[in-house]
Amino acid sequence: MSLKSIVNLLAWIKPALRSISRSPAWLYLKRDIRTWVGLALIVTIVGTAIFADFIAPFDIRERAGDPHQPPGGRYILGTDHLGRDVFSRLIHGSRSALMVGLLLVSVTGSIGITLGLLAGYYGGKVDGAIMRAVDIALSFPGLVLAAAFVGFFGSGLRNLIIALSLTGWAGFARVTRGQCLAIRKEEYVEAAHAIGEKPRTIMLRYIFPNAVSPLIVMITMTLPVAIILASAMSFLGLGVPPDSADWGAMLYQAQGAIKDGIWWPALFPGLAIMITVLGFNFFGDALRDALDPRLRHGRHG
Amino acid sequence: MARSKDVLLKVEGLKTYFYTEEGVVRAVDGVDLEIKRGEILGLVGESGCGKSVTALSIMRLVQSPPGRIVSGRILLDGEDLLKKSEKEMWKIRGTKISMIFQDPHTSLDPAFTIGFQIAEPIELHQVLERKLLKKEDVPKKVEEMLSLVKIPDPGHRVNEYPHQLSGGVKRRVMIALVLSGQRAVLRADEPTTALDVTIQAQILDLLRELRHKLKMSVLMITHNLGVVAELCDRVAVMYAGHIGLEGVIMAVVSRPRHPYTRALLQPGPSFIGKRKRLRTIPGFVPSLLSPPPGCKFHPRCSEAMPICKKVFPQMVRVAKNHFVRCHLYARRRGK
Amino acid sequence: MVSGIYRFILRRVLLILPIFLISSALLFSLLYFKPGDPASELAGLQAGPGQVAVIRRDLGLDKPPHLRYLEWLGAVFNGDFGTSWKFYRPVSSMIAERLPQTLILSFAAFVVSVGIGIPLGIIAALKRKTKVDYICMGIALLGASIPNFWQALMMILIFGVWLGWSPGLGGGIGLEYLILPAITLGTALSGSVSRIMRSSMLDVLNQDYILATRAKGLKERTVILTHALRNAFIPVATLLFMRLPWLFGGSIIIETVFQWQGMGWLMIEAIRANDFLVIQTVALMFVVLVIVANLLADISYAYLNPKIRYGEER
Repeated sequence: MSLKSIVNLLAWIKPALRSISRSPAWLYLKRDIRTWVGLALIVTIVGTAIFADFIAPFDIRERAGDPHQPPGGRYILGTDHLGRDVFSRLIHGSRSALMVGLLLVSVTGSIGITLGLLAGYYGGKVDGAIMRAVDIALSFPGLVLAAAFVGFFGSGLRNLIIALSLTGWAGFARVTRGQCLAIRKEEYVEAAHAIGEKPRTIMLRYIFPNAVSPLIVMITMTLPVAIILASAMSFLGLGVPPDSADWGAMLYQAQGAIKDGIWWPALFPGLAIMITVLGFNFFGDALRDALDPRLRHGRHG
Repeated sequence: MARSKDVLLKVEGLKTYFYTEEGVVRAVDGVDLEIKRGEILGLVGESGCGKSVTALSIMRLVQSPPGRIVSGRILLDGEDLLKKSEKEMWKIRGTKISMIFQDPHTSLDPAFTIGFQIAEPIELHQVLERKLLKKEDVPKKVEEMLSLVKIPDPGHRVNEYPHQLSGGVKRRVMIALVLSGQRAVLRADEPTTALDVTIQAQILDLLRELRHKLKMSVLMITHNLGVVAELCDRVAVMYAGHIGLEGVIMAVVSRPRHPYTRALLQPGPSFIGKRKRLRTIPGFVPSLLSPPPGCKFHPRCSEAMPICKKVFPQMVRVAKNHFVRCHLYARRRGK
Repeated sequence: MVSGIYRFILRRVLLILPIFLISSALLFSLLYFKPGDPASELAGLQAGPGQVAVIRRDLGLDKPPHLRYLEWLGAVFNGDFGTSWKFYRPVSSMIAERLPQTLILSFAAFVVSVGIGIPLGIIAALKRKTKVDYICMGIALLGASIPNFWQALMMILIFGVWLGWSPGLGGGIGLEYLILPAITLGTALSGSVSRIMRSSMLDVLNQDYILATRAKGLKERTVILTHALRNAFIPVATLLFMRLPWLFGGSIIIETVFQWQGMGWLMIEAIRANDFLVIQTVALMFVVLVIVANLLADISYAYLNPKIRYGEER
């Protein structure tokens, strides 16, 4: 990145921020408390993930103390069945969750948006075929298919992403296609078509940018779902390696000790998942309402 | 203005405001109306001038957030409706005063048969409340109602669902809905829009007949002057939340005084017998959120004077039974 | 008049067949895409080449895929799903045992979610934009955000260990074993249910005919309970049935945690044992369940909506 391109980037940021701050969506968002609660949680989790190494007191693999020590003292949240510090593993778990979540959303998003654009743009049989697939994928419980996939092909991060992507793309496809259909009728798209632009250009440069706002909402709302699904798979032992410092995996390891009343290895990872999910859901809800043209005006007499 | 026994409904100083995020919308801003027994009063105006809200306010059906009846009196047979509790209103709606809604396609509950929907108010008011009818007699009464509005084969129609009926039939069903029981005032909100001309004529005939048979008073809300001319005894013209003009139909039509009415009635006064829609007047309907000061019509008025921009004109009598709210006439009367 | 709704159902049922065939073909083919050699994996490290060959022949891997598929399809329609390798039992009898358990759990969870979600949604809609609304929707959001596998663990902890009520990790069939998993699964779904109900209610309450009904002088209670609800339920019922597949998916987790002998747990056990045939068959069963759920959704819509039930305009 040359100095010149950095300067260009900075020069673009300031007016972009200003136009965002004046947009009606932001004005709405600002007043909604869900925005702030959500952002607070999101920032906390993201911050934890970024600075994990600095925050965590212990190494996540180190068997620092006796197994199953209750919270208190050196081990803020106690130790797990191997004597590792729960708190440190919890902190690092945020990295795992966010990474897997973002990875999953990227993959499913790319597939879904591409297919959605294709379906919306070409219409006809292409649209019909893709939408049938979407219907099937949406109605099928993704976890079942993912489990079956992992059952055949083994676990691990790569297979986890593939497995969950088998049905995960459908939501993006449907939304994108809907937007595409609406935008395709606009004049500037027809003009571009008349000029003779290639379909790919039309899709990328004209249709996609205008379809972005519901997609942004979709991404914000899909991320927590992805995190939950990935954690669920890990909880079943079908996701990331069971010994990882991942919230789902931690819960998997914590299952056995529950009946003995060892609650701390199970409580905190789940709480962490919930907080992360809540944060994105709050913010996503507020974002969705802010960007929804209908909800902004009430009914007059 | 006639005295009390004759007057069935009297609205005084009605103000209904809507409190929205963008500000206060003064949908009805000081309206006075009077309807005598057996009389049909037409309430005319462009869309958005507040006529529907006026009707809803009289029946107290305004959605309470965000709307509110801020002040005024609504006297039905001498009793102020605004002072009544909601429970008392339930008894009044559908018996003493009822409403025919504008869009027949959306005003009937799609999940129930028309027989059921007509029977409902009958059962509630006639049977339960006033014991005028026995439960077993209700189905017969429902069929009676359907015949009254000239729907053929009522015995079978009773079991049909709204989506199975044509627009004209639905319209009649809506009229039938309000006929059951002793009606004192009937509010017909745009009863003839979206119907073709022959059906319009039939409906108007029906309303006329019913008015005579049942001695009902009707407040007819419409923007179609032809309907008004055919059916109404008096007319009031509404603009931006106010009544601009009121008078006996013949007077208003033959010699329109208010510039707005005049504009509406162009080209000529002799249109009785033909159906004419209101002309659209250049300019925009004023925003009820931030209305212009002074006379609300002044930005579009061809005869606006300097005073019109500043002072809101009062209602002035220009002839027997003909009242106008305009500075042109206030001056002439030497006020 | 008779044909209206039945024709509708018939059309739907006919669509099912190709979906079923495609899904089963896809699932079936998974075995062939699998890297490595399933037969030797199944046989284990100790097995000699002869044993592996026997297994391979039994799995049918020695025949080309399409033939095998047709064979399999034929066997399936005769009720024979093959034999599980790790459990030494015919798969069909395992499914016959486990399927009802999953259905019972799903049904119980459905009842719980509806019992909580519907009233919550109605109240939230009626008191729109007031504190009550926000609280109800807050509860719904909370329910949706709690990962159900964690909730399951916490339920076991609280009710099983600390309070000592339910057997918790019983694994039995009786009612007391059903309560915890049903509540866990049900509360997770109730958030969705309440949101759907609220949304539908709000839509209906905004309609003209509700205003018209009020104008008739009907009591507010009648307006809401008779008219509004009846109309609001039409899309809700459909949407609820469409959430059933989610319940099936959740059963994989919940059954495993609570050791409820259903198909979800069967799948997990099969995965852990590398029993591919069972995995494949159970997955196919889930596909069938999803198809049935969708069918129920369509039927309920046709039944509840007078427009479809009684045909179109004259």
